[in-house]
Amino acid sequence: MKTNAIALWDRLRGTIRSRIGGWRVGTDVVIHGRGLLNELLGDTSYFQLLMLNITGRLPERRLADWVEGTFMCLSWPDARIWCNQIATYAGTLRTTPTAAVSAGLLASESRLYGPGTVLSATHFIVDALKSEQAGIAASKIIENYRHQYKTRAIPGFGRPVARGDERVVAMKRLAERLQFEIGPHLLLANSIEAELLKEAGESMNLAGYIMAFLSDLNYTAEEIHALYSVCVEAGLLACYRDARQAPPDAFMPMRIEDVNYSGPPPRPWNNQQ
Amino acid sequence: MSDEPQKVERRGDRFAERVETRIWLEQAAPDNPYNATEAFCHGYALQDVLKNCSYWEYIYLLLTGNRCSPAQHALLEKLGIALANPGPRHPATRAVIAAAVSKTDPVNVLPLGLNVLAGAHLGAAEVGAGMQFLRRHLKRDPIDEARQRIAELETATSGDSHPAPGFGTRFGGTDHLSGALATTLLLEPGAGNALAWAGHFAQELERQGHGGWLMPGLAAAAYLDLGLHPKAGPGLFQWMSAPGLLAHAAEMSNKPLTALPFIDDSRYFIDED
Repeated sequence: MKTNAIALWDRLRGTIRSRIGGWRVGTDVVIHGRGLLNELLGDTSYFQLLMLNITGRLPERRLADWVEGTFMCLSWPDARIWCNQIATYAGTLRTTPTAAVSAGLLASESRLYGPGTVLSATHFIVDALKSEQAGIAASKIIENYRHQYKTRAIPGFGRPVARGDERVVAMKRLAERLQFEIGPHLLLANSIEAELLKEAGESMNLAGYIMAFLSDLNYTAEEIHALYSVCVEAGLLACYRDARQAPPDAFMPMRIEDVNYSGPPPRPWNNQQ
Repeated sequence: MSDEPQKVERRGDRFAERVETRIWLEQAAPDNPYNATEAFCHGYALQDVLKNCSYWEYIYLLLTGNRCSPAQHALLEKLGIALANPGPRHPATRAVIAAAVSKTDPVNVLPLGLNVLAGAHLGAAEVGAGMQFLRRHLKRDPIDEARQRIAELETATSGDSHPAPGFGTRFGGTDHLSGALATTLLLEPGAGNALAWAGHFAQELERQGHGGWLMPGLAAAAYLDLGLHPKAGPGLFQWMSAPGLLAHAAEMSNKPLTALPFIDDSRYFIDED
């Protein structure tokens, strides 16, 4: 136990110490030492600014454009996608768009898709590269992971509903156009994909591609997690708007018979029980 | 890596045609298959429940499918009181107060407070982790477990440390209020192994100057004694803490923006990069 246990709290009490920046009233807003209004605005894209806010590093424009491309691939107007479905329910019950987006974003923090997959996919590929550098082959890396975590699923590979991922193909095309080179994480991810394709026809998913790509550019798992926290926003708003313009409570209405009841049959409540 | 275009196709997953529930049965109205005339919770007619059952009995029935014993009923009710208000200094309550004063749409206030209360530190995620921790260690000696965890603590940590989820220091010391509430709950006939084990564990932490009970630990132990699953714990903790969030937000909702501190520029420090 520290001798003066509350010294830390007393030092912080009634003040704000920011490592990121703040509003200089009437002058400018400081973001990691840069002026928002007098320096960044006009020369910096929104995604560059977003990444600066999250990481403290201002990325080159082509990287921000690449990240923007991934956002375009990560969110579409299809109300069957689970987070979109939630925003649609919000629309059918006439919430505000902000409430709908918030609900959908929370849903996207999933182990199966969305930003909920970032940490496991990044940790996997980062650890995998360390293993490879220690001389372990891709097939053995897969085997070791499955053994350690008692699962067949490899984070960043495979996806729900479909086999294959057309978005990865499109993003690789964009990366080539933006003249990005393939780094060691992505190279290894390609080798792991080759193994999984051979074994069961499973390919790299978009999250796996993004995490390998950004790990090559020294982004950490936590930074990527924060960056992609709102990545499904566009599809949420599209689905919300669709439902908002339809009659209320009209999204996939259910008759009572549409619910399968499998519990106990009706029984009396007996207070002596 | 293959340059051939990837073939993307739907998996052959068989999705359910209908949702299934053991909880709720409805009887359709003869004139409209979408409207119900009667509902049954785990087989009990809602009208019967309404006439014969207390609120907490009903909640227990909903959550578990079982009727609670008088001891469980009393423990649940006392726990409901203990958790109902995290208090105005808890960051989740401060979040709703800030929202209320800044005139956030009232429909968003509780959800945003519960989001903050989702955290792994003093929030719902810590309750789930606490339940897992207790379940895994109930067969160990709580004093030995506490000593071992204290020994494994990193010495250079700044701020509070939680040797186990739900237990540790608050503001560098012991959270006496949580401890006092735990002591009262421990007297309940419904208090079982988990609360007793956690009580010894917390006592040893406190004896060695490493805090003791924290509210998530109290909730975690009580939920286990009530026979609830760790997956139910986080949401239940958020819901049981909701009344206090609502009350504090309501108290502030008509007050002006100036009713809260807005830290003066002289006490806002930006650590330049």
